[in-house]
Amino acid sequence: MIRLINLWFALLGLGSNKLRSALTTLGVIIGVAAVIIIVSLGNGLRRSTEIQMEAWSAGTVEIRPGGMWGGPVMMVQPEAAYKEGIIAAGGEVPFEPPQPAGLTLRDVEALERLATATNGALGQVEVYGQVIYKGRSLPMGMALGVSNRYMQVYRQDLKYGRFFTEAEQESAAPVIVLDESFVKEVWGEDANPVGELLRMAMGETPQNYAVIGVLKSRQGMYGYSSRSILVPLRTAQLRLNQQGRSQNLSLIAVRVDARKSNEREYAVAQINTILRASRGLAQGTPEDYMIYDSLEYSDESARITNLMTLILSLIAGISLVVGSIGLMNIMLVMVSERTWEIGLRRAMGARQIDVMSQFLAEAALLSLVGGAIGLGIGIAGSYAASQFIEQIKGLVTVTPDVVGIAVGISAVVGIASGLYPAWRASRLQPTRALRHGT
Amino acid sequence: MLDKASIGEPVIEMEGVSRIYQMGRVEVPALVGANLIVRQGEFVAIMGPSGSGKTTLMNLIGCLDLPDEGTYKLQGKDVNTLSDARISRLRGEGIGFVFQNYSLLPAFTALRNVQMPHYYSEGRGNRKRAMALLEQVGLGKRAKHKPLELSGGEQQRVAVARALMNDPFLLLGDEPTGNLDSASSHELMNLLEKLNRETGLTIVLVTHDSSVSARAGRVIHMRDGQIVADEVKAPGEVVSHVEGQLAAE
Ligand SMILES: Nc1ncnc2c1ncn2[C@@H]1O[C@H](COP(=O)(O)OP(=O)(O)OP(=O)(O)O)[C@@H](O)[C@H]1O
Ligand SMILES: [Mg+2]
Repeated sequence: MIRLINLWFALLGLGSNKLRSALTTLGVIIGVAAVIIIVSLGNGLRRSTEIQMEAWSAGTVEIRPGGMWGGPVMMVQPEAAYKEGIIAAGGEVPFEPPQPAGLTLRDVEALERLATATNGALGQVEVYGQVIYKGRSLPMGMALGVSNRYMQVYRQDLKYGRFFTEAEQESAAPVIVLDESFVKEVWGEDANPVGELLRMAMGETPQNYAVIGVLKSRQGMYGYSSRSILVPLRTAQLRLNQQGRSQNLSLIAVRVDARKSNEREYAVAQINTILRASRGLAQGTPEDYMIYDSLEYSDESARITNLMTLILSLIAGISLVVGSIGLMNIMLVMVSERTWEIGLRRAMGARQIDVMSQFLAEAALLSLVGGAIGLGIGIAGSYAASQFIEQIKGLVTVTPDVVGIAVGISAVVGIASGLYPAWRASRLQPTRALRHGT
Repeated sequence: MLDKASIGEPVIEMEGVSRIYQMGRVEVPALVGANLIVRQGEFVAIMGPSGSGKTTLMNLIGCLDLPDEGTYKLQGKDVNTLSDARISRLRGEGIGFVFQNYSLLPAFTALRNVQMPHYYSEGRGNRKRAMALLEQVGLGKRAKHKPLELSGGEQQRVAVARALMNDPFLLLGDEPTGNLDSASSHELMNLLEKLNRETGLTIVLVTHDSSVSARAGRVIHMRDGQIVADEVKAPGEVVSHVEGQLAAE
């Protein structure tokens, strides 16, 4: 039977040497605070990456031109564009010099028609030039030409107005759809610019484009795509032609709703088969495009974030180990300094288990108090750090399991470092203990 | 009150008790073949030169240590057969200790020190009794003082009060007057004598001081770990104390 009174004796024991108790807890405080900050920031970072990836990719599979000759080629040399013509049909890629063939609408159509594991495919080109609003040049000088599957493939919603019609696509109409964050930058929060005119110098002559719709921003989405201007694919291709550039697609995005990795692998394999056929690649020839599964990316980046968190947690863990060694050291010192007290208590009827529980309680109290303070500092530190790190602003939450970890860790540290000294104390011969004092 | 049937009942029974300390490879026979019987109500002084084994004997009597050889029965119970919990309980509830120095816990008030054995006997400190005991040793006004604020004599009287807290059947003192001047020493001895006489408390003291041993009914002399003399100075007198008390009731 363990007597509760020993807890009180432990409290008084610690109280009689406040400075040393405070210094001893310091090691635990630092260790616990470090663990909490690192785990919370790691969680925040992972959340932010997830949101970003989810927003950016929304689970699409992307195909970019490229292949064995190098990375994605966004802009083809004018001479090459000349040779390729408006639409370079698959299989007719000039062998010399080796140039990655452009992706074409034929590939998109093939995917739309044949793929069963996907849910819509989109072609996209990029046009560069000046964007002017009321005589003022805007900082973003790029428009994305997209086919009408855009809304479906990226799971976008409209805030105002409408998206392009088939007729506008066909006729290469000078109409644009903007992202909410773009609108916010130019017109201000919640402004509705539908009907406004933007002047874009992207072809031979500057031309007025009418804003017909605004897309809702996706949370956490930033980077070029959210700030860009969307125009019908044909409109953009016409401008590229005027610039003397290839009108080949710089990107095909395919929606794959499946989330399980084997299902996604199947979808990617299917896309590859269809593309090889549509591009007329003979068996054995390498692909002249690359397929990226954006979710695989986020898997990968989550793995990296997890690994980083793990490594940093290990380092924080080491500081905890150091703290607990310090605690054990102090407990051993206390036991030998108080040998006589132990003997006296034994003479007054304390059992071995009483002595043991008193010293164990002292270690546990030190550790728990250190853990509680460390928890406070850790929470404050996590929020403070998240204020300074833009990427994880508002994403750092100290979850109950983190609190649980902190309390658990400090309890374990306290018991682990207190157990041996307390056991030693309880085994001291009362006579030896009393002799010590005299 | 003293029960007539219990007068003279043996409290301490030692038979061939030895205690040999192991100092690495060297064996130190601190106590060799001690035979000793102390009966209820006796007041015994143990004397002898330094290193003769007095403290060793006291520790064994107080169950702070166990014999290596021989048997020791305390109140008829063989201590070698008892568990730590049982021995601790016997110590805490049956024996009161007064040591030469550092008898009190410095972080606690006199009152708390007196209450302490009661906490370990699963009690709640019985403040009232602790207070009464402090009054009894003449320190009622010093209850809230910490040991360092008390004189040596006062500290030892607090220690006596504490030793009495659980109403023990045996009081042990290892040179309790060793650090006191003769006046304080005299005062403490008056207190112990009174306890022995009025309540029949069995008392065993180690002392170097002949004026202390002079007040004991029985003096045991030790040398080289052995009991060399056991002198019952005035047997009639010890009995007469008890009889005097019985007559008074
Ligand atoms: N824990 C121990 N380990 C080894 N030897 C010990 C131990 N305790 C006592 N001794 C030895 O046993 C012998 C008896 O010691 P003890 O303390 O009983 O003597 P004492 O009569 O009380 O002496 P003093 O009057 O100086 O207090 C001494 O030689 C001492 O050195
Ligand atoms: Mg001694």
